[in-house]
Amino acid sequence: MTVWQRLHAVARREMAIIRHRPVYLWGSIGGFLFCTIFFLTLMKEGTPEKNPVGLVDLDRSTTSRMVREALDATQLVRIIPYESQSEASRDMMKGKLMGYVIIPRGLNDDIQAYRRPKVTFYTNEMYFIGGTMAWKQLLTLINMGNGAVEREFMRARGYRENEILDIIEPIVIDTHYLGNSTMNYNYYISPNILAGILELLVIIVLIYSFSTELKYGTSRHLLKASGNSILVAVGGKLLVWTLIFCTAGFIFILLLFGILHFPYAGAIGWQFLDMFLMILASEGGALFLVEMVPVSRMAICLGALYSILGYTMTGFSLPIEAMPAAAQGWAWAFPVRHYYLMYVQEGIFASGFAGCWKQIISLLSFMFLPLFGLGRLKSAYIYQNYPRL
Amino acid sequence: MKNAYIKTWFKDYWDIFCNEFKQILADEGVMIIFVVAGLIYPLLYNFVYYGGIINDTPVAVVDLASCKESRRFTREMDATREIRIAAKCMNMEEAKGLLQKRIVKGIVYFPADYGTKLARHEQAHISVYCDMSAFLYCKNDLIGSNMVMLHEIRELQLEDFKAKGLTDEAASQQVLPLGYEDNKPYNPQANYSFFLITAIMLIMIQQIMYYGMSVLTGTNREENRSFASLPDQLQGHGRVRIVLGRGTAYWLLFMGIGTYIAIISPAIFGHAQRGNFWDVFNMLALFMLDCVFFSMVWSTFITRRETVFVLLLVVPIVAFFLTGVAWPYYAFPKFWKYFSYIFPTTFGTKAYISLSVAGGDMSIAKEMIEYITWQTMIYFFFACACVHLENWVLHHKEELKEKRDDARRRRGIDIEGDIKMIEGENEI
Repeated sequence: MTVWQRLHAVARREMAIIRHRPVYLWGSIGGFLFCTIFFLTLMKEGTPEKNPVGLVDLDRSTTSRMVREALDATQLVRIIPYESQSEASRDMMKGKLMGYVIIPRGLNDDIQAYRRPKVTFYTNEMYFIGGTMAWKQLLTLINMGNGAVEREFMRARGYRENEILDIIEPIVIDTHYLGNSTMNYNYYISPNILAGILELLVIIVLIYSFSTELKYGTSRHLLKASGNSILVAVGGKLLVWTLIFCTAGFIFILLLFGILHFPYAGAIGWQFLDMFLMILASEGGALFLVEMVPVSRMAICLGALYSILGYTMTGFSLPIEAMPAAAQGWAWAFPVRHYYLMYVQEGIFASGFAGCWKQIISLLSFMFLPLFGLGRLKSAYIYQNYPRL
Repeated sequence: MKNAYIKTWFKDYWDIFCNEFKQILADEGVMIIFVVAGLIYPLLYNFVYYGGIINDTPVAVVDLASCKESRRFTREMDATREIRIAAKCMNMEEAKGLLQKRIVKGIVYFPADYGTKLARHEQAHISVYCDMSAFLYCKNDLIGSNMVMLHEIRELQLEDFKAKGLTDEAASQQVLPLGYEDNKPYNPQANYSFFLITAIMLIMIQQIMYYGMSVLTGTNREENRSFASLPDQLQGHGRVRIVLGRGTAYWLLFMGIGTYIAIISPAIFGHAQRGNFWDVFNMLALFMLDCVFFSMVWSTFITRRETVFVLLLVVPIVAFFLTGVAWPYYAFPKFWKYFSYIFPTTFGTKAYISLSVAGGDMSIAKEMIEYITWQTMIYFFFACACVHLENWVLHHKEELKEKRDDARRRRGIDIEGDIKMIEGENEI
C-alpha cells in the first residue's frame, strides 16, 4: 500500500471512531457551537445600558431635580431614588446598584453663594463593566453640572453665548477607538474568548483521541492500519481533526467578520491563516503532551489544566505586562496568545506580514514540538506499557 | 421496629459515606483534580493576576502646534499614573508605525492651530486615538488625557477670569463651582484582577467538585459498577441514604478545599476580606452543599472517565459570564438569565461578594442565600431522582443497549464494521 492509501485507511478508521463514540463530535463541534451562540447572544447589546444607579437627594431643590433629570435622560444609567445613604449603600452591597450619588443638603444654596458644595458618589467596581459605566456617567454629570453653573454665572455677568462656550469648554478631546469605534464589548470579547474555547477543544479532543488508543488497547491496530509508521498514524488522525476544526473555525470567522460585520481592518485572509495556524499549533501542543505522558487520565487532566490557563495567558483581558515578571514569559507557551497578537496586528492595525511574521513563526514552531517525541509515542503504542486507567 | 429502621438507616448512610470517601482517596485521578487543581490553581491564578493594574501605558504624542500649552499638556499627561509619553513623533504616520509595532498603545494629536485657537479664546481640539486591543489600555488613555484636559480647562479659565478683572479668590470661586468626591469602596484602585479572582474562586470550587465527582462516576461505570446501586434487600428504598452518604463525603472534603480556595488563598495574597469570618464560612458551607447536589445530578450523565473533560471543559467560562460580574446580569437576555439559575455560582458569587468583599452581614446576603437554599433543595430532589433513574437503567441495561444499537443501525451505522475497523479482528 502506498503512503496515501495508508493515510486514507487511518483517516477512515478515525471517522469510524467518531461515529462509534459521538462524544468526540459533541466535544468539538457541539461545545463550540453552544459557546458561539452563548457569547454572541449574551452581549448582543454591545454596551450594557440602563445601569442601575441610586440617587440620594438630601437637597430636594430645583438644582437637585435637574441633576436627576440629566442623569435619567442618558441611555447608560437608570436612576433609582433613595431616602438615605444607608439604604443605597445596602443595595450596592447586595450588587443591585452599580453606584449611587449623594446630593448634599443645601447644595442649591451653596452653589448660589459660591461655597463650592461637594457631590459624593460611590461606584461598585466588583461588577466591572457596570461599575465602570456608572463611574463614567457620574463623572460626566459632574462636569456637565459645573459647566451649567458656570454658564449661569457668565450670563449674569453679561458674556455673549458664543463666548461662554469657549470659556466653559476651551479644550475638547475627540476620542477615536481604533478597531472598535463604538466601544462594543461584544466586538472585543467574543472573537478572543471563542478562539480560546476552540483552542481548548482542539487540545482536549486531540489528547483524548490519541490517548484512548492506549486506554482501549487499540493502538497496535492503528499502527497496523498505518503500515507500522507512526508518522502516517499521527498524520491520518490529524487530517480528520484538522478538517473538522478548520471547518468550524472558518465558519466562525465568516460568521463574525462577514455576516455579523465585526470590524476587521486588514485583509480577512490573514484571519483564516491565523485560525489555521492556531489549530495546527494546538494540535502540536496536544500531541506533544500525549507523547510525554502517554496515560489517558493524566494527559487529559494536564491538558485541561493547561488549556484553561490559556484564557488568562492570552492577555486580552489583563495585558501580560500587568502580570508579575515571572509569569510573563509563560504566555509564549499558549497558541491562543499568538493567535490574539496576530488578530490585533491584522484586525485592528492592518499591518500585513511585517506585523505578524513573529506570530506566524511562533505558531509554526508548535508544530515541530511533537517530532521530538514520536519515537516515544510509537513504543508506547506498540508495547502499551503504561497504565490504562 | 422504628428504632431498627433508624439504626439501619444510619448504618447504611455510614457505610455509603465511608465507601465514597475511600473511593475518592483511592482514585489517583480524582486526587490530582482535588489536590493539584484545588490547592495549586488558586495560588497560580492569584499569582498570575497579582497586580491587576496597568500603570504608565506608553503613548505617542504628535504635536504639530508645538506651543507652550501643548507642551504643558504633554508634560502633565506624562506625570499621570495612567500614561507615559513614550515617543514624540513628527507626524501621524510615524505614530501609526509605532502603534503597529506595539511600541505605544495610544496617540495624542495636537493640531497645528491648537495654541492659536486657545490664544484667540476659541475652542481647541485634541485627538486621542485609543488602542482597543485591550480595554485597560483604552481606559488608561482616556482617563489620563481627560483628567489632564479637565485640569487644563481650570487653569485656562482661571487665567481668563483674572484677565477679565476678577480677584484671585473670586476667580477660583467661579472655577469648579461644584466639587465632587469619587469613592470606589470595594475595589478602590479599580483593580481588574480583584473582581476577576473573586468570581473565579467560587467557579473553581464548583467545577473542581463537579469534575472530580464525574471522573469517579465515569470510572465506576467503566468498571461496570454504579455510583448508586441500591441493595436488593431494601426493595427499591434508600435513595436518600445514597445521596446523603455520598454527599457528606464530598461536602466534608470541600469544607477544607473550599475554605482554602475562598478564604485562605485570598488572604495569602492580601486581598481585602471585609466580612465577618463566620458569615462567609456559613455561606460557603451552604454553597458547597449546593455544589455537591449540583455535581451529583449532572455527573449522572457521565459514562466514561474522561468524557467530562471532553464535553464540559468550557463550562467554567460560561458559568463565569453567567455570574454577571463581567457582563452585568441586568443586561442578560431573558433566556440566559433563566439559564444562569442552573449554576450555584450565579447566586454564590453575588453572596460571596456581598459578604466577603463588600463586608455586609447576613441580612445583606439574605436574598442570595434564599436562592441558594432553594437551589440546594431542588438539586437534592433531582439527585434522589437520578439515583432512581440510575437503578432503572441498571435493571434495563440490555434492553436499552439493544434499542440504542437498533437506532444506530436504522441511521445506517455499521456498528460491527466500525468496531472491526477500530480494534481489528484479533485485538483485545
